[in-house]
Amino acid sequence: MYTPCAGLSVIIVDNIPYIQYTENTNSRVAIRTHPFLALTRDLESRFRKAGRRNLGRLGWRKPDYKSGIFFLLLGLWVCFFSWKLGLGSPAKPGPGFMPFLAGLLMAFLSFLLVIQVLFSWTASTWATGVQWKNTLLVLASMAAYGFLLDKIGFVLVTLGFVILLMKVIEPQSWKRAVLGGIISSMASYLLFETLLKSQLPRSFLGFF
Amino acid sequence: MDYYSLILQGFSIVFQPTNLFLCFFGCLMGTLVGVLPGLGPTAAIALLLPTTFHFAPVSAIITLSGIYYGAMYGGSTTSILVNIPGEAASVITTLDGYQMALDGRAGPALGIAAFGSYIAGTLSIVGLMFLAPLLARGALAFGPPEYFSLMCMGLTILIYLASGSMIKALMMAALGLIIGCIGADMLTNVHRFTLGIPELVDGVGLIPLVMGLFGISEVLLNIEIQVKQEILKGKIRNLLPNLQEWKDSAMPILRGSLLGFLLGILPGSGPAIASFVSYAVEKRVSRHPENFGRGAIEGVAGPESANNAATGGSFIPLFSLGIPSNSVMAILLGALMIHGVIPGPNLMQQSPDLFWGVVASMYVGNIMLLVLNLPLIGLWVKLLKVPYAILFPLILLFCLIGAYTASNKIVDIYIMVFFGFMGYLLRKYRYEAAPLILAFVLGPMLEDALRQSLIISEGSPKIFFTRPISGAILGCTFLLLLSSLLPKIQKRRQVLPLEKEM
Repeated sequence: MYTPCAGLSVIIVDNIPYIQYTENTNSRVAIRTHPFLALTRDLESRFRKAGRRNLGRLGWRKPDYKSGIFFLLLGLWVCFFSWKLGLGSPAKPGPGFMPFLAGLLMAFLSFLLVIQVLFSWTASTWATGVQWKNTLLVLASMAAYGFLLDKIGFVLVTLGFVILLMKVIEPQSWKRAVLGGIISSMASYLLFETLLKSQLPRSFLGFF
Repeated sequence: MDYYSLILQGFSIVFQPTNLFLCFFGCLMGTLVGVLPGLGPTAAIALLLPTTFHFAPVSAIITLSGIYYGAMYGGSTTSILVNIPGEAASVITTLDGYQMALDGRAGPALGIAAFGSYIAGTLSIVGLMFLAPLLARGALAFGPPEYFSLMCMGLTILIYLASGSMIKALMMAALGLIIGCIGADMLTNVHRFTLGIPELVDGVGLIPLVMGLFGISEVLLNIEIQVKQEILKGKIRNLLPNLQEWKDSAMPILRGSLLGFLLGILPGSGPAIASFVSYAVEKRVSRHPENFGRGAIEGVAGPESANNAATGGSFIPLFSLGIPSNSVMAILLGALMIHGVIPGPNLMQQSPDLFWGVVASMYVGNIMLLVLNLPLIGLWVKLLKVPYAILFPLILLFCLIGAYTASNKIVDIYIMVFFGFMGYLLRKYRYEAAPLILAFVLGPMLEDALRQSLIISEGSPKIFFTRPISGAILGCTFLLLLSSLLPKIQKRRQVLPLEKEM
């Protein structure tokens, strides 16, 4: 590895040189590279060898690229629907006027972002991977909480919710999980229903 | 205007038993969320907003603002003792605070953080007290075009100060505007972007949106990284700093107060950026910059003062113009509107009790916080020992209950879950949620001002430039946007801290 100055280094991945910029922000390391560098320096061998494999190189700048395209489409969609809602005239702006401007702004900016990713040194950011399992689990259990809340009542659904989360994400002992569930459901019931008089849904049994 | 009688009136409101209790409750909750990493003031305020619905408006705002400045006190404790920032504004305190703690000087570090916070907090309230009414009087002449220009400038400054890509920050503002458009149009009652879902006709609620973007997504990110909390062992002694330490910190505290206060007024900057800037300034003016990062007390005193002063400053645009300067203020604006108080330059004249009551409560709250954070420090240290695996189901549970009880609609839970997921993905792809929230709150006001201005001018956008105040503000906005393209500033912007706004 060759280090021309602090923070900048050249690394070789699969015989292709990349310039890597490393900075330590908040204990996380951000890596930025210029993906086209390889193209200019090693054009021939790269095209000869890799074919489809080189698409993997785009991974370096994928996050901004992907989100940029997504927001571009979203912006265009918003523009289209705003236009259908009716823009009105400048003297009498209609309901679609403001969202049209916002959608246009969004589309324009995401277009810029995509362009920037394609042509710049530093635009591509390094996203740490999305951990689907735990994330979806938590989100699904929250949605289930909402679904069951008015069907089986606040206390029971809270009990189940807390026990489930304590057992699944970072497993605690059964004793701890059940105890935690009972205490938190009782305490929150007392706090919100008895003390703050919020109307929490009751169970089919009529109490709690 | 007689300040003396007004402030007395404010204190008479605060010393009513309910308000005094609520002020204490707010400060306590604030310290709690400040101490606990992974739950910041923004989410906490959104969480407790529904419970304040049946209070009087002034009591509600007293409670909620107590959480805000209370969190600034609490955050330093975690930074100093555990080396993990309790919330975004205390990130920089970890650098020198933790080093001091390792040297066995945890006591003075905690002490100077609390005293500095107290001094800066009180000074900034004095500033708020004098500046806000002045600004409000000036703003009485504002019409829709001026408001439109002002909000544009607010959003621009916010984006200017945002960390990371400016394009991305602007995109988030656009997204916020779009989300703000969901629901029935105010003028024509046409349904916009409701996707045929009847519950969306009233629009997306601020509470599920904020709790999703700041609360849920934060939890989702935190369960991925297993936070190792190693609390400093041993007793904390000498909470009162000695004379030398006071001498070293006096100027940093004063500089931090002024800096934080001014930065707090600017939209988008808020406490976190104030603390970063203060640290940089202290390092530059210090005669021993090499001590920074190795336990310099100036590195604790300055930033901790600055973040507290910023909270006082950030109330100014809210109370005098009705424009929020950061996401916490955006929620407070929402709270005011829920209570039927119309924010704007008239607020101080129409409901003087509200403004002066809140100002007086901040004086009282700062004293309470000093007591909460110094003699009771041991209590908070114990709390830090609760593992996150037990904490996060409770945080999620409170979000669920909060979202439901705010409106008694199940659909708000689904909306919250949706935005929680969105917030998580946005963080992963390095987008900031703060511009989104601000644009979401400002959006309807912006649209109203824009449409009214265009109706006044019969369709000519020239109205924004020919009216002197509006023109001047828009001119500044364009200058700001243009200057951000200069390479020098672009370089400097990259040094700006990553604001996590937890």
